[in-house]
Amino acid sequence: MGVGLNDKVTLLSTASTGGMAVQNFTISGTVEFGMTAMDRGAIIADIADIQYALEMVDGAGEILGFSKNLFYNSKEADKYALEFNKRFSRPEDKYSPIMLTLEDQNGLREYIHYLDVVVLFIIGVFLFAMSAVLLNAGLMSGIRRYGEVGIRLALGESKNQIYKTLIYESVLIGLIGSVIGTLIGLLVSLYFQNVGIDVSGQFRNSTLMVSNLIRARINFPSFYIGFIPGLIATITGTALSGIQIFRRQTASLFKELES
Amino acid sequence: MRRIIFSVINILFISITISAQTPSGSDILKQVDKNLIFDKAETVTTMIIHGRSGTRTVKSINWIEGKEKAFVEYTDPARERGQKMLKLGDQLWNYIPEPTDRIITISGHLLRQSVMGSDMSYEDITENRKLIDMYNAKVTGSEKINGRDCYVLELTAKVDDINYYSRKVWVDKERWLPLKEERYAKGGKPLKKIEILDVFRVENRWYPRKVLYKDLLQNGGGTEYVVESLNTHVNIPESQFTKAALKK
Repeated sequence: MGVGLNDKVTLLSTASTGGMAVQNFTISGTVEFGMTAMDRGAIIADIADIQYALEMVDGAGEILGFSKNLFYNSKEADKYALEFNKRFSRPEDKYSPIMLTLEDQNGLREYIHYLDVVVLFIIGVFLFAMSAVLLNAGLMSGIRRYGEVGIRLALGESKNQIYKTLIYESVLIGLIGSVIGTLIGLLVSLYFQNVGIDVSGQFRNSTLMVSNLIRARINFPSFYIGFIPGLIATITGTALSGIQIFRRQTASLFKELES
Repeated sequence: MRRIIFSVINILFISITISAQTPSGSDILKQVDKNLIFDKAETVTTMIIHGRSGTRTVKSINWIEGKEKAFVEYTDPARERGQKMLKLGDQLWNYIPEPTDRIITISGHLLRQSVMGSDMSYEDITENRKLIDMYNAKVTGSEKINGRDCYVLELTAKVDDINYYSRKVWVDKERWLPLKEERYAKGGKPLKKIEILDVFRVENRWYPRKVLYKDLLQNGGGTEYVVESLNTHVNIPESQFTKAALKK
């Protein structure tokens, strides 16, 4: 805009009465909200001055509500909006107060539901693929160790004992792998939680009050979700391949080992 | 047979006589234009705006020269006191007094803004052409409005750059005042309704005393525009219709 500190700017807007609102303001600084919609046209001013300029002393056109943890909770927001509208909103009067959730505005509900489905799909595919890979790894290791199991059986180790040691081993491998994987995943997530991904280009012409940065969030499930494919799939793979141990005939062991 | 021929001739004669008495649409528009436009006038007016959040009263002194020049100074309420508006042809300026002290050119989307929150827009004010220059008029009948005989006219735009594509106007047959008017968009959507509720005589013509404007797209109760006084023998200096006069 080419204006500096202490310069005078004139706000041209529409007053609550419908007339033209014209008021001078002095620039005392600039601020970046990190939301394209706000950075494009929002100003911070004394609320009393704005109310005077827009001829709405002690009034407000819109009041924004935030939860204590600053995260949007769809179910709670729906509950509050329903209760409020039941008490104060009158459909026949378009100027009666109405509470709208974030999702009720600008078709955001459909967008958020779409994102939820996409995220669930991505997580599902990832979990399935990782489980399949690890299950396969467990199966393969069982099959590759066919000779080792035969020798152990020939040396007199019981089938149960061998099966148990294989399971313990897979638990240990799964645990170590999951811990290392989770640690790496957490470090990457921590980076995206602190730095984020800039999506301001997507919201250049948007009026949605959405942050320009999309950030990862480390929460409690982040610590255990990796153990589902890491531990369960590895153990299941080993357990399934280990069943072969019980089908081995001691009488034919030497024949197999000779060959 | 002779009786039938006589009746037909009689009916034809009566029809011709009636149609000869009814002036054409363009003649009526010329009379309306002539009646409402003053060479020079000073008026004191009150706007009673019945908005959705209550009723406001705005008073002003107006200096008018034809349809081209107008200067308005708002005198009441305190918040609006000192605000001025200058119209020169199709140009419009608003002056906001101290501490804002700014002259704002009303153009573009600002023209659609309401004047002081009333049911009139700046676009309505800047319209300075005569009705006869903007519309083709057709007389569609006669009706009584508030006990007065009126011609019913349907106006259709004959120019492109126009705020209202069509209008339906009820014109008083004796006083040449549009007692009622409905203004429509090109698609036929009703936009404004205007009714003259009271009139008074100025020299040899009738002029509206109280007019009710209703913006049909707004939820309020309309705007009453009351002419408190009208002085046609006034000497308005040419400097009154200049931007310099806004800051005086």
